Amino acid sequence: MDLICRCQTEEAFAALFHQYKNLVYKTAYLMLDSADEAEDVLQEVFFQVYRSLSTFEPSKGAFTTWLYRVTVNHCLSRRRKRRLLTISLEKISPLAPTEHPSSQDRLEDEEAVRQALSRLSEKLRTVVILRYYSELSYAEIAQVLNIPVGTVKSRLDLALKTLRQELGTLTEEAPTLCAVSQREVAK
Amino acid sequence: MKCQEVNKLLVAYLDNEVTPSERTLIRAHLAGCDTCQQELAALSALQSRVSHSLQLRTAQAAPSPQAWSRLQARLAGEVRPSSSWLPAWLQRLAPGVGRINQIFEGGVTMKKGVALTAIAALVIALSVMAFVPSVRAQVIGWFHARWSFPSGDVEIGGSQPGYTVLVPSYLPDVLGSGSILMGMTSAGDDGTMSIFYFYGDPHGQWLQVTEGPAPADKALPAGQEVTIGGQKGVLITGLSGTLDHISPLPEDVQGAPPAHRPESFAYQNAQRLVWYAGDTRVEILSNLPVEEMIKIAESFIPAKTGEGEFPPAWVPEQPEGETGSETGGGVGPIESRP
Repeated sequence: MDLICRCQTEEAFAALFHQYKNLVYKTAYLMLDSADEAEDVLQEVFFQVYRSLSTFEPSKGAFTTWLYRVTVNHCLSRRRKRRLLTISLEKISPLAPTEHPSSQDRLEDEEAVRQALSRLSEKLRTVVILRYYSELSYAEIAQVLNIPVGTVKSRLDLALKTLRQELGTLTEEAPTLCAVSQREVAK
Repeated sequence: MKCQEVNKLLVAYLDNEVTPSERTLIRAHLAGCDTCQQELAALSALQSRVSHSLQLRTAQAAPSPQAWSRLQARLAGEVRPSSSWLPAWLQRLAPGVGRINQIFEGGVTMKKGVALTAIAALVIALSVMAFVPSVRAQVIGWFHARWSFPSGDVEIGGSQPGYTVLVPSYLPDVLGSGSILMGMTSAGDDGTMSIFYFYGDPHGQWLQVTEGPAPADKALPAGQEVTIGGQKGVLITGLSGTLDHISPLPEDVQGAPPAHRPESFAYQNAQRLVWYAGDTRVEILSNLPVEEMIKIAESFIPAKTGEGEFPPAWVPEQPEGETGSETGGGVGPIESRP
């Protein structure tokens, strides 16, 4: 039988989960750059939503704003734990090489953007994802992050200009090296 | 405005997040400044590049198919919130639905209580769609339908799900005399919303309607070909199975429990009719006689619809005697029955 009515609570919550699972998962995927961690965040977020729905106040903002806030907070919390873990590993193994993108990766535009985004600070990367992936307005981002709209504006301005500098430098590096090489040949 | 001032506002200008006066000043400056024009073009290209990159990276990213079952297993060990949480949340999410509780407070029969509780479930599941950015654009308004039975009115409503919601304009009285009348929705794994609503009594005669968006190929299952409203449909007879069913009543609903509130019921010798009407796939499953099912199927018309978010103060009151709709068909009081 494909027409299944479950109990009211489960039915509504299942509908809620399926409606928003991609929003939560993809936001987490971008923030953490890991499918496994995004999957874990999806579980954590909806578990918290299940327990906290009764405290949700629409007068303080839309449901999605609240959901984004829960998701972002879980992601930031994971990143902090990850950072602590990284520090710990570096202490144990000081000779572990630092990862640098290969020059081949840099030639690929998508990878270049990804790398540039990953080098942004947590605060800047978060506003970039919420604005240019989730397409939230500045006011919505301000609500999600609980910061003033002016701060959203200044963070996005700084983020874009940092990215431009980073990506611009990358694209300008190759011709510069080429010119040096030609001069050397001329000698 | 000087270049330095304009430069600080260019990102917000591109994002349409500057004030009208700032916009005017920036435009005036850009008209005479090549440097800032180049900066604007570079930032605009960068925004598109970043946005495109983020979209590409998530295009194939999706939760595992086991995500919901994992969560269910985890929730099974969790103390379920009070069964009254859903109506409370519903009221907060869609304040207009507060009228449901006003009706409860006015003293309703449990039969109505079940119906209205179920309506709440329908409203809630459809209302959430309006909050999803990707879906927001598709939500163009609300739908609503009401049926009048000798025992009372039943109504359903919600935000338009992206396809035309159809409702029967004819229903036999027997479906309104059962102990259960309800409406519900469900989201498929692909995120599409289906609507289903149930009339009647599992111990008597019953009918369940399921609707969803029509797939591109409009494929029909195997079965006996029938014609419904000039469209080809399929009838499948001799069906048996189990219908998992019936939402528990919230604790805050007043009145005595209904006589029949099964979690599920087994059925035999039921029929299913499947057909397409425009952009909608419709199924009805029932133990009514085939002729009666076809008569019901042929009576389907678009639900009453309106612009704006649902519910606009629940739904507009229907003037006495009016049976039409604002933008489509509608279901008014059913005047003639067999």
